[in-house]
Amino acid sequence: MLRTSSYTIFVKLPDHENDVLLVHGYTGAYDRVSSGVADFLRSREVKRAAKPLYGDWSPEPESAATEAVSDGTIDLLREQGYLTELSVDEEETFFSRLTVKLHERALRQAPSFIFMPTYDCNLRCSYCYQDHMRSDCSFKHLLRSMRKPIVDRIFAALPRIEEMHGLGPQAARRRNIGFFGGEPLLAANREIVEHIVGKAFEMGDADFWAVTNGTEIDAYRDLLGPAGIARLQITLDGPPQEHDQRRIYADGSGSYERIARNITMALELGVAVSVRLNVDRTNLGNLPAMADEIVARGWDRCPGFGAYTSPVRSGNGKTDAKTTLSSWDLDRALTRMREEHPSLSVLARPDEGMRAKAQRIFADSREILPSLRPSFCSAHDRMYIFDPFADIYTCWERTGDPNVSIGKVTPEGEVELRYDQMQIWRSRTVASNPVCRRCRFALHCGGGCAILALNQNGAFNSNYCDGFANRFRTSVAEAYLEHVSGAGPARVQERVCDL
Amino acid sequence: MKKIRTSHEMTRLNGAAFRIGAEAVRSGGLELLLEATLSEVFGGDTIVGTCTEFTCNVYAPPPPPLGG
Repeated sequence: MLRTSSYTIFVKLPDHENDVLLVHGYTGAYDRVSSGVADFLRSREVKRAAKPLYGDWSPEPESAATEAVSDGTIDLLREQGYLTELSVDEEETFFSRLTVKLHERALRQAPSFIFMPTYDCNLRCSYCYQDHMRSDCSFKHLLRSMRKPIVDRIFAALPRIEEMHGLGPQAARRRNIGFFGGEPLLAANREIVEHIVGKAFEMGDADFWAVTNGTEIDAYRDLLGPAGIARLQITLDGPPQEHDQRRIYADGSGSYERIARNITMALELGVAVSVRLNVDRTNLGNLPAMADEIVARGWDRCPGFGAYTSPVRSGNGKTDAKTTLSSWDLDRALTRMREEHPSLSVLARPDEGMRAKAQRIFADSREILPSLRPSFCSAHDRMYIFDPFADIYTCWERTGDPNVSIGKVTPEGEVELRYDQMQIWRSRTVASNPVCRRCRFALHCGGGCAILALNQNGAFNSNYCDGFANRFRTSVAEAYLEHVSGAGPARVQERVCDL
Repeated sequence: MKKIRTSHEMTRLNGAAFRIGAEAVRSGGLELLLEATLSEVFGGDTIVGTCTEFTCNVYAPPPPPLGG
């Protein structure tokens, strides 16, 4: 008996009563169907589709609706995966196995390496999740910088890690090496960062990037550029006055002007600079001023520049949850604000990437392979973070505590992995909890951030939805309407992590 | 090229990347079938990642730069 696949996503289009978009949750199919076909599919759903974003579903279709859909259309619906002969349980089992297979493939991707030259930082931002490391003296031991012998032993270990991902000594590779902290690009770290860059180039080609507060990158001028540290993410929390109240030095003074000067310098050196704006309800209203500031400084005219917004999360006990926004809230607020302040288009909304992906699917004359996410981020498949003590972590939200490290590099350059922790981190997929496993959006979403899920639900293997169903349907609907109106795909600013 | 198949009720905007019938799912050997299907769709064994943390953890390689 044919029924509607449990993973069929219905996307209603605003002001388009007669058409509905269908997206399949695991085959990668996208279709436009008449509302009659959508009603037909809804009548064959075992579980109800989520409420549409625009208007309401038409009244539950009569069984006679079946006859209104042609055999040819039914064949097409089967071909695309929207109709299935599998029972609900069989399809869920199939979905789980597909997810595990996709994840196994993701685990075989080339690893990415992140160096933390120090946990120390020269700023004292109130919402920082690492704040305790600098303010609680019982963590003082962490504030030591990485030393050259540690770097050397980590580089000796890299081929062993690559081998675990199926890359033999002869395999061609271009290593992906990031810097994170603390503040990785403190002037005081210059010598060790240069040593890391030099060691990487001794071993072959490499791409470098850094998440930095940007206050002291002038000390790295000769290392910055397309051939060196080519991409930076730098955080600004608003226009100067706002930023200088939030991203402050230990003495309370502001950091804006110094960072702004360094952003200009980096752009002139050909570095791709991605400015991240951490937004909550208290600084949301200042975003138009920030957009004006970006335009006034001319950053938006540099090809490597982009700015994106990200919601502040209430993770460190110092941030009032009432002041925070979800990604969905922030995306909608910015969309509304853009009508009044067109200059806000220089700030990417949280879901710009999702919209652009859908636009490419609609615009490309070739079939686009589905971008399926069996897990949320590379903490679950290929990320290795080395701290100053040669401890290895897989998520930068969980660094600094050897109890949750996934291993360490020994003085001999051997990799000692802790398989209990590896198993916890590297096995979290959308099949590892029942909510995601049964969710039609799961392979588009990845299950959400593990740390945010843990904070919200008390369980690592649980869902963190962050309004994804609404965000996905809105993004697909907007992308489709832009496509049919003739607008081309947007350029999307890259981002590091949704946290 | 996209094979645009339409009926008056339906326009295909992107084709399903794969289709595994109910019989194949029920008959056992699904692991091998999935392995073969995904290799065919996404490519060989070891995936040399071309994306970075900057492009998030997308499964498919990122699209070529626009206008490039």
